[in-house]
Amino acid sequence: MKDRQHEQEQDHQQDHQQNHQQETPGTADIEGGSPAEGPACEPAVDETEPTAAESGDGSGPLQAEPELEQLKQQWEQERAELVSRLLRLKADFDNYKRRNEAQIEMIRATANQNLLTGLLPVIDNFERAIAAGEEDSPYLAGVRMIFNQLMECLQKEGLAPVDAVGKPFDPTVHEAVSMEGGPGEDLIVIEELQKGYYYKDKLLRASMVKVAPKQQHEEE
Amino acid sequence: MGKVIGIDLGTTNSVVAVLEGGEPVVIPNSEGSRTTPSVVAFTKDGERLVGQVAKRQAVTNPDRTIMSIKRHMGTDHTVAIDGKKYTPQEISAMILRKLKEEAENYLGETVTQAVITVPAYFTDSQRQATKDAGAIAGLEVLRIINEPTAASLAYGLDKEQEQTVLVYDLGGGTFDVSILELDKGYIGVKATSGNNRLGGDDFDERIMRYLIDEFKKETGVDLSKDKMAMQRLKEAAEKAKIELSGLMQTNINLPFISASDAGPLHMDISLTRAKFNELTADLVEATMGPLHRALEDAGLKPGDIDRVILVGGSTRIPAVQEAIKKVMGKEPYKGINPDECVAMGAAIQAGVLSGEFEKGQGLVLVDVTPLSLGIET
Repeated sequence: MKDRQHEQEQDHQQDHQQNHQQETPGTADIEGGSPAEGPACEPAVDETEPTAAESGDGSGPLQAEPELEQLKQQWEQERAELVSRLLRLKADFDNYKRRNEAQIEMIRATANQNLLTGLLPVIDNFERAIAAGEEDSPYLAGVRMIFNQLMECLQKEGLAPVDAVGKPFDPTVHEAVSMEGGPGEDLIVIEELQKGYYYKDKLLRASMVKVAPKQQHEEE
Repeated sequence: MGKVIGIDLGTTNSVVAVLEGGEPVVIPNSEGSRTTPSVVAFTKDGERLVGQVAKRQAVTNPDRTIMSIKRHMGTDHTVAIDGKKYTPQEISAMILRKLKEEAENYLGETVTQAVITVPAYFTDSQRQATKDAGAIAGLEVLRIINEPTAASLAYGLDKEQEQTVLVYDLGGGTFDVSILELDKGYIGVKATSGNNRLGGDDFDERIMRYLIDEFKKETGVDLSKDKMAMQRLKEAAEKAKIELSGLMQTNINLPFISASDAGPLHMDISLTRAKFNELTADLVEATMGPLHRALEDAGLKPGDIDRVILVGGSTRIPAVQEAIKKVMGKEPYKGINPDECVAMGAAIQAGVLSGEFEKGQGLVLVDVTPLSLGIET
């Protein structure tokens, strides 16, 4: 009997042994029986149970108790870790989902942004070409018409120039490359060196500007 | 426990990253950029600007725009604005606060803790100043780690066997070499060297100067006096440099760059990689001195180095990689964006400290030991 009992200690059966070992009216309800009924209902739970119960006075289960406690703690700890990991992953995933949706929406809204950004230097050069043309030349007039055609088309897609000359200097949309006059209050944009653009309310490129204090500029 | 962010607080640019699902992710700022200029400005109305916006108004407000504050960390240097004196910690805190806010916007939750990187040669007082800057910004700095250490974490080298690593970091305006010893979660700094006035901007300038000279030879016009032309040249030079990392030749096309009595003038110059290498050979060579010095200080030969890691955007330049390979006798380790790998390493360390990593995986006990580190300034 004892030998068999020791074998059983090796694995999960310890659990049942402990239940019986400690059986008192208060704790025995795990298997729905009192100590006396124990063996009768055991087959339903586990075939090896009777041996455990019969030899319940052996020293084996008593020794197992600290181990069990340790195992329980270990499991609880592992469980807590797993739950915490799960919660983290869930939070990560929720965030990911939320951002992903926002990102898809953004990509949809600004699908042309890269293309437009690449086109900006071409537009700049187009404007430079027009500025360098001979006034009153029919050729220039034609080129200007083509340029306007292009810009109209891009504006329909959401491209819009940044207001610059005469406006108060605003570093959120203007990039100052030079400053005239001394430092002073109320800076305004006095010249635009390169146009800035928005694409659907988003700044694509800041306008490159020359600034001066408003007062000094007006005095000139 | 909330997310802990990793911050690369740089001299010219800063980057913030966070661990998501076990992977470091760089957080873009509200302007959509992955790096934020380390620039702070005070407007006349007393408003504070940080990042790209501060940079855009710098020429209008030079006395009240602060750049490269990192160079002053840990010193008594102060910046006086409207009668109030600001310490380097306070200025750095403004940059950190902006990065914290960007991270909060991105994550949708409050962020209160961070890991911040510093150069390996930073002294205790410089490290403390960085920590203080974090506290002022409302961030509990869980750890200050060395930039090269962060880079090696980004590459996962801490998980490999014991090894010696050389980190070559060529940033926008500073150059650092560090030699690290990695051994089962312990990372020690054996030597550092560098030049804090050498960086990628110097390479751009060489291209600009070449273009100006060529144009003058061709047309007799000196573009260096024309602000608008110089602005266009600067952008074109940077673009050419980037293109030459992948191509053997690039074209610099700047129509209507200037005008003469005969009409408009255009720039159309092709630049080969060979010519670019020739123009910048001395800059590349200038990084070799500190590299040899670091090896000497560590008492090591090139053959003793197991791995070479590249950090900083300018390490994309093929001539830089070739020069390193020639001296070290091995191919440098790459694969992670060199502009972002320090911030990514900081995010990994942040993840370890916040328990984001499960046990046994990436459990690093980084031990930072700045030895007597000679630096050349």
